Amino acid sequence: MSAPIEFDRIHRSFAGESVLSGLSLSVQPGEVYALLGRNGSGKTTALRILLGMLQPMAGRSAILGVDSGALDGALRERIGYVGEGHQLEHSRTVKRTLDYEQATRGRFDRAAAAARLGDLGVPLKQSVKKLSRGQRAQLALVLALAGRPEVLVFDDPGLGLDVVMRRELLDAMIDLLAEGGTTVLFSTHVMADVERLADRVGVLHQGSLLVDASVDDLRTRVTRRFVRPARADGSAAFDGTRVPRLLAARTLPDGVEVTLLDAAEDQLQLLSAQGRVSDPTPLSLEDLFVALTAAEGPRGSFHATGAALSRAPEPALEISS
Amino acid sequence: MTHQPSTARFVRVLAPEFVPALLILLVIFLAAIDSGLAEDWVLPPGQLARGWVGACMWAGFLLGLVQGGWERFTTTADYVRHRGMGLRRMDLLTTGLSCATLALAAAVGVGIRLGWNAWSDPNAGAADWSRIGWLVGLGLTGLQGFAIAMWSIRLRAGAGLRFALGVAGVFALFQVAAFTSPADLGWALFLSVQLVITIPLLVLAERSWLQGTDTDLPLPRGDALVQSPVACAVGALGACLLAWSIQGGLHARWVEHAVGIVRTSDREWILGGDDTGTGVGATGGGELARVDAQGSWLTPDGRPSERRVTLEGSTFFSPVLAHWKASRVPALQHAIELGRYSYQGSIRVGGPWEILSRTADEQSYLDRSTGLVHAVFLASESRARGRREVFDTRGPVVEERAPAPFPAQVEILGPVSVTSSHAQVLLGDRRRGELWAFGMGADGAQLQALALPDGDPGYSGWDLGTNSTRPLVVEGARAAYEWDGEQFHALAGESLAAWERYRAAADLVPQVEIDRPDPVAFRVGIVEPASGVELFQHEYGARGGVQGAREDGMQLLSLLRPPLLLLASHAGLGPDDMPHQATFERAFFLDPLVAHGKRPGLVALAWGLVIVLAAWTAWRLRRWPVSTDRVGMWVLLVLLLGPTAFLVGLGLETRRAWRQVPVSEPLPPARPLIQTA
Repeated sequence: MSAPIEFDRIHRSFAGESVLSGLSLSVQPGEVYALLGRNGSGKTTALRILLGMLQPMAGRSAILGVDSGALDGALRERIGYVGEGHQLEHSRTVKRTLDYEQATRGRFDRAAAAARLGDLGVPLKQSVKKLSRGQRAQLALVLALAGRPEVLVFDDPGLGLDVVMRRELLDAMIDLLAEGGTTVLFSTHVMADVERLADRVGVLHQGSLLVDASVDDLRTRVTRRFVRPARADGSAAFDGTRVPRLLAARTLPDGVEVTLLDAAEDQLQLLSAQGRVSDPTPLSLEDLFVALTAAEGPRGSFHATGAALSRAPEPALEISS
Repeated sequence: MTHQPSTARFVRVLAPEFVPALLILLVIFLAAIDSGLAEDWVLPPGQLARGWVGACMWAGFLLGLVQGGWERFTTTADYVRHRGMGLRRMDLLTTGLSCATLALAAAVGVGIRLGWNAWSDPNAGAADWSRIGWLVGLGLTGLQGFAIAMWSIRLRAGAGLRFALGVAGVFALFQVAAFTSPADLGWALFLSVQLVITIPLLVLAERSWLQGTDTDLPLPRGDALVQSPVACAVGALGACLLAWSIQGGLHARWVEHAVGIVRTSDREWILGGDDTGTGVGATGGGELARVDAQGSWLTPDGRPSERRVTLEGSTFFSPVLAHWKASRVPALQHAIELGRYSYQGSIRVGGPWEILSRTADEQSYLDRSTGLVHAVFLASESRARGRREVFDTRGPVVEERAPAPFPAQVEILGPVSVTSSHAQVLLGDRRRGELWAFGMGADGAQLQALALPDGDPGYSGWDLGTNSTRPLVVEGARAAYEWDGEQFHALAGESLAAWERYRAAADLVPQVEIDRPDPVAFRVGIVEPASGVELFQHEYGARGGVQGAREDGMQLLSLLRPPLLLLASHAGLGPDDMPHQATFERAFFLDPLVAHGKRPGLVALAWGLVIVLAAWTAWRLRRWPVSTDRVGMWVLLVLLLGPTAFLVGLGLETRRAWRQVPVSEPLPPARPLIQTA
């Protein structure tokens, strides 16, 4: 393993429910990787396993080249981590929290952190528990960044923040990234954050990775078309099994909306055989996420009102960048 | 603050946990001190010190629950761990702080008590500070409770089982303390024993702490080999204690209601009955009436002949009361009071309201553990100052007198409170036939050996009690002698006749005999000592639905015990006395119901039950990928430790932990639908 962050066939379940089933991914040096997924898809579990807080049932993960189960204090100083819900000791004041960080992390730049908090309007004498949720998020992020980490791991850092605060949070992250060299892995539900920050996106769904691709590739190569059935009553079944690189299909009252990868002539011919096909439209990341992870997902059978759609599991589609 | 990780981590654990825990403990200690038990804390005088052992254990257990629960249930564990505080360091810090908390709470508690004593009770100054070893030993028992809590709270099991095992562990430890009672051991041995118990418990707690609380994974083999037998053993001990406690309670009700002797101002009564009522069986002034030989009133069945009375102003003869009446000296361990002389007088020192009152008190104690005689002098004056009464207390002054020339088994004959500072107190050693006079006011030879007149070789002993106002009579080999305060005179004439009448009447105090040691079915007899005639007898047994249900309940509780111990009880290992809580206190793991060959069917049923449970355990574990040796371990544990081991196994080896474990190489993951190479 040479990448700063690596997961290798991680399996994990809770109370018999599989949460991660063979997660494998790596984040390259300096890369910003956004891990997306619906609630309960295993994002937090993956990050906790990566930081050695949780034991996987099989597989291994490593961070900065060291197995997650063997992280020591010195190595953790090189990693910035903001856990789910911005974990902080609520009984302390902000100033005491800075003291604690400085005492426990040799690389922590207290002056910079205090200055940054001052800019953000976070009062140093305030108790952490009396801070607003947004201020706690800002504090957690500032603490993580002030350690000048080589790797940043954030678990949904914008959770619970309003638009303005989330923007400030992102600005702070962008400032850090501007310095270069920091590898970032973060989970989020906010696609706008991903589009602003991430180089690469992973979509976790039902325990495995549906997407592991660069943002640019997703923007340029995933398109959407609308197929209006040849018969007016729309009762004919749409058969997507023969359509190559079909990512998702959604039944609408007057036709089927298909999401395609690398639109090409062969796709168009097969779709045209089933109805009138609209021109391709670009797809936002959020649309792609919904298309892939909604109940009518691409990995199983689904039925919809008006037309029965079925498809077999799709082989992996590789994009050569 | 500069980079000082250790200090920061220490403060982090200290702030949220230490302060509240200390406050909780302080409240406990102050409450205990307020209840007057502090004298036993300062100076354990024997059995009562067990109360303090229990208090310390429970205080430590509470502290462990607070600290362990804090770390387990707060959501900042990941934050703290990512700041370099590993589980081991967290464990060491919390354990160290618990030691400090217990020590501080104990020191503050004792300090307050000593301060209170110094202010309110001059005699408290006689406390021996050198006995700090007792305090440390008791502190270690607190640490044992802490370790049990930390061990149980981290077990990979449900909350109910964790708490039950924790409570059972403390109860079991407390019961083990019966074997290491301070009354039996010197402080050094007591301290050493506690140390030997504490260290492995702390190691076990740390191991439990490090194994984590992930209930979705089975315990690793090494941890399982340690934690599972310990948890089963604790559970089995808890089951034994539960059975002992409830069975003993049921049996105690049987016996307590069965028979008792009550003395009112003018006569003695034999009292009997059960839960449903009380009946009076016999009356008489120095002579017992022949009571209902069938003893039907002892198990009331609603017949009209039953009489139920309420006795007011009666005094129960009870060994419990005798225990509480025992001399307790806060200053001297294992001391008995040899004598006490008090003086109080008032003189007019000015106007009619200006009275000076003086009180003087001299107490002499024999420390049975060292054989030394100590005298404690107290004096106080009070006089009016304005409208206030001003007290001036002097003392106590403690003097160590010459070593006593007699063994520690000496007993005091006659009253200890004397009216003259030159009066003598009589002491005797029944076994060696020696008598001694102890002079309260003598400066030199306080203890003087006495001889009976005419070379009578010894005395058989007749103690009239320390508060008796009757003449003190000592029986020698040839005659009875009366002590006049300075020497013995042989009784003769009317004095001898009065003595013999008195003694004959005293002989009529009936003796209650209970035979056939069984908690459910036994026989009670009351025998007239002089003639040996049995005045009363009654066969007890479960009669009626309520008592039958009670007996069935007792037998069901026996099934909870490890079958091996039932077999040992059946084979005769255990006390021969009437089996109840007191006689089985140190053998609580043995079952009085099956003791000495009784109820073989119950023993067979217990074995049948554990064999079924062991087979069930094997069948259950074999459905999952549990290794053969681990299945074998559980089967063995169930066979050895009984149904509680089966229940512990249900809690520790769960389907949840085993069903999702890949036993071979994990399958290759499905490739992403979209992947950038």
